Amino acid sequence: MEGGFVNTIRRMRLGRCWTLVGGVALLGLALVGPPALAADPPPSGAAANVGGNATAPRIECAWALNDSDKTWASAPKMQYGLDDTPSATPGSPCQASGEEAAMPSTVTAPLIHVKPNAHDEPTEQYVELWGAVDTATDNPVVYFDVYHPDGTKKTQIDATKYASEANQGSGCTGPAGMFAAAVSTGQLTSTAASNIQVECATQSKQLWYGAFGISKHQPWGLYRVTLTAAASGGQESQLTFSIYVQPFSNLEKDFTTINFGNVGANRHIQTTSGNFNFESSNQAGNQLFSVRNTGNAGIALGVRFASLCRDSFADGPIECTDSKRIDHFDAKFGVGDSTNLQSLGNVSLALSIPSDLSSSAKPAPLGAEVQFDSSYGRTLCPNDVGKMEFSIWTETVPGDGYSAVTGVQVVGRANPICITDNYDGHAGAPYTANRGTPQFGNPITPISNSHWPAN
Amino acid sequence: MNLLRNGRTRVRQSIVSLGIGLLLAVALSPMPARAGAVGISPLSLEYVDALRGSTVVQTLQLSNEPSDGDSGTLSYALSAKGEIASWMTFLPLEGLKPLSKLEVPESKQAFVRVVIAVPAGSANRTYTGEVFIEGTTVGVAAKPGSVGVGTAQNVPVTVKVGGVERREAAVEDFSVDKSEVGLKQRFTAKIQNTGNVAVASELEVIISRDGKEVTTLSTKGQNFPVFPSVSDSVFAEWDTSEQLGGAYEAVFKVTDVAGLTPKVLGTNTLPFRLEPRGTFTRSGEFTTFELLEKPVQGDAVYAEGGFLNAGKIPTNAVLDSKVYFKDKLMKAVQSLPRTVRPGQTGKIGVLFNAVDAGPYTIKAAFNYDGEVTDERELKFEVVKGKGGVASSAKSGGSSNGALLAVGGVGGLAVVSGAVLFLRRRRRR
Repeated sequence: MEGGFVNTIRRMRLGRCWTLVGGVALLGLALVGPPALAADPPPSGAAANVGGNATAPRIECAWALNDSDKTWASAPKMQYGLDDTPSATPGSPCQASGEEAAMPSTVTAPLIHVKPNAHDEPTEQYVELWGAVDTATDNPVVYFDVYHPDGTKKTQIDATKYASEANQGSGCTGPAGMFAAAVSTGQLTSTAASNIQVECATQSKQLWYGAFGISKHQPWGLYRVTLTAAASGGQESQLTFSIYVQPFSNLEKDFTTINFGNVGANRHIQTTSGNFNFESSNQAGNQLFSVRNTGNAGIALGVRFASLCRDSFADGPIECTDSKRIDHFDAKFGVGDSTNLQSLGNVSLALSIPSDLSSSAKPAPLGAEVQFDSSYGRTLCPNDVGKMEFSIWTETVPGDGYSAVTGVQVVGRANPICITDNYDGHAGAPYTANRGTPQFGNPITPISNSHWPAN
Repeated sequence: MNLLRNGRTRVRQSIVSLGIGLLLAVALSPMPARAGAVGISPLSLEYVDALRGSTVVQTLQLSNEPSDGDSGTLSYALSAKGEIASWMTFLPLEGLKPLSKLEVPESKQAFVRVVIAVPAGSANRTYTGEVFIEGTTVGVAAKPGSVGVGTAQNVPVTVKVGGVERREAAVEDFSVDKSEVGLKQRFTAKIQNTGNVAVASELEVIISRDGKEVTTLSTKGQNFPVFPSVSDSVFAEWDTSEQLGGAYEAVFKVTDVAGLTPKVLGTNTLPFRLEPRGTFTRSGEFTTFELLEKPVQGDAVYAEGGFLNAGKIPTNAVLDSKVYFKDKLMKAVQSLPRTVRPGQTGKIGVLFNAVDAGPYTIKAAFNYDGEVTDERELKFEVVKGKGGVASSAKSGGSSNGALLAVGGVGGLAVVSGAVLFLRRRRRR
């Protein structure tokens, strides 16, 4: 793989003198520090002339595919299949009639829907980009530019020719399952897929591809992709399409049970204080309560409580009545530090959170949800760790063990105020590239496509 | 449990002596008592331009993406809330059997179609509701004697009901699968519904050879709905076992029969070939081999393999497996055959009961139209009794299946093969 900057230089070599001068200046910039991607000029539009008069290659079609089993890191690597919203398709924009396949120069509906992997495990979600390019001109320079939902550039990917002259015939069918997935996701008609393979085998079309990863630290929304094919010493053509990165949440906790210990009646008993360190998920016995969100979209939380019924009474519809249960609770939750903790119901018994008081069943049902507010301090952005605490009001219940199989339920709800929600999170401004310092680094740092396996 | 009882006895004695005390739940379960995470996408559903009396569909993805060593199958329970709760039905991605629960194996995801049936008498306005999704880890929920903690997610649903019917749909693709004499040949039309009412698609294919009609295929009377804002396929299959190889022609006609007057959505004529027997090379790969759940002694063990059809035509794949207990062959287990289309990966499994505890090995290979893939090996340890601690297992070959198993062994009873893959029909 060559870098985007290398392509720029390649194009510049073939261009006019003033372009060469500009290229030298950019090369100088690159040598003193700016990353190659930063030095790469933005696309100059479909009509751009990068030098010479050779006819621009004709981009017939482009399509995108995600790793459907989301385990790109392990064999068998890329798995072609459904995308992450199988019911929504773009309507097969790449169609064919006769010997040509064609696609509108700008496709508005997203070609595919992609959900990143929670916690970026086992890897970032991989997306392949493909293009079928007419080869009336030889040795075109082909690359993909990917843009964030706010229009800022994410990365430039230099495409690799999948079907080289040496394997034009066998390579034209692409990796096993690739064309089938492109058709089943509604990007290519089967006729177009067949046309591209046949025309490729006769060396009148070439297959180009690139790949990039989408992290859950990157904003969700509509990502624009521009495929550019430039002739050596000639003009370039472009095709623009988009993919939709879906919002998702993955609410995790590092505890499974709450232990209030041996307590007395008529007490307000609070658990050990939680912490902002997420121990391993679902640690039995852990009493330092933390929650986190390993998705890419912000969520706020609420809680529901079930009555804790006497252990010495059997299960049944009337075994958990008012005198045989603990049925008032409170909770605290906050993100970042303890100043953000919000208390619900701990002022007094009268203001505490009840379970479902209308039910006397054991096991008891969960009561109505009570929500923490939706401020930034109570929002779990990607990889934020929140701290939780819980309390009970024992009232006059008799001495016994009190328990519930599911006594507490932590409930998430969308609250799109995080940087990855295209939202500043503080001032209500639109998402701004390179702003903020999330826990795992800048969310829009472009990644290398060097992970792509050898052709 | 004795420890728990003894502990309670001691505490109760102290309570009695104090006269006022009480003991609250303590997590003393010997196994991790977990109540799982919830992974949901997207986080809201919006149905725009829904016509009263119509049915609209969107998709939710429920995932089981553990981190930090957590593992196990997640069970999701879905319920509808709000003013439109009665309008909502949850369906699997394929099939029409409503569901309220589904299980998602570790590191997998599942799709649920959220179907909204808008009552005919609804006024034009925006309605709201929510899908409430609760996650619990299968088999290891919190025990009585503790205060278990669960997780859930609210997904708000918005339905904007309008009153103008738009019956708009078009055929975006016609295709004929490659086939050879003796195999079924599929004729497919893919329909995109851009309107706001469901399409009831019907396909007719007239097949001719040398200008003479050979047969007519029709899906009349079958149920091929295409919901608004969705693309879906209608197909017919031709049994070619009594046919001659050679050049043919197929005339397609797709009709929407949902309205009072049937409406032709598209027609097309495609030449195609039916090749002689044995024309196409078969090629298949055994891609993955894994256990999907942690079996408990006495429970069923389900081992699933991935078969990639890398050939040119659909093939019928069968997972042939031999189950060994303590290196002794116990049983040969074979899945039901499943047709896997070119370029697609079929998940095909075998199921048996494990009665005894000890080390198991499953050796398996896919048999497809007389060809056989490489053999894969799956090793896992089963411990006695329910609630045992899971142990890791290894998958041989290049399979990436990570295995976890608890439970027991013994006589092996074949329960079924690929029955989990029975579907109403394959739509893609």
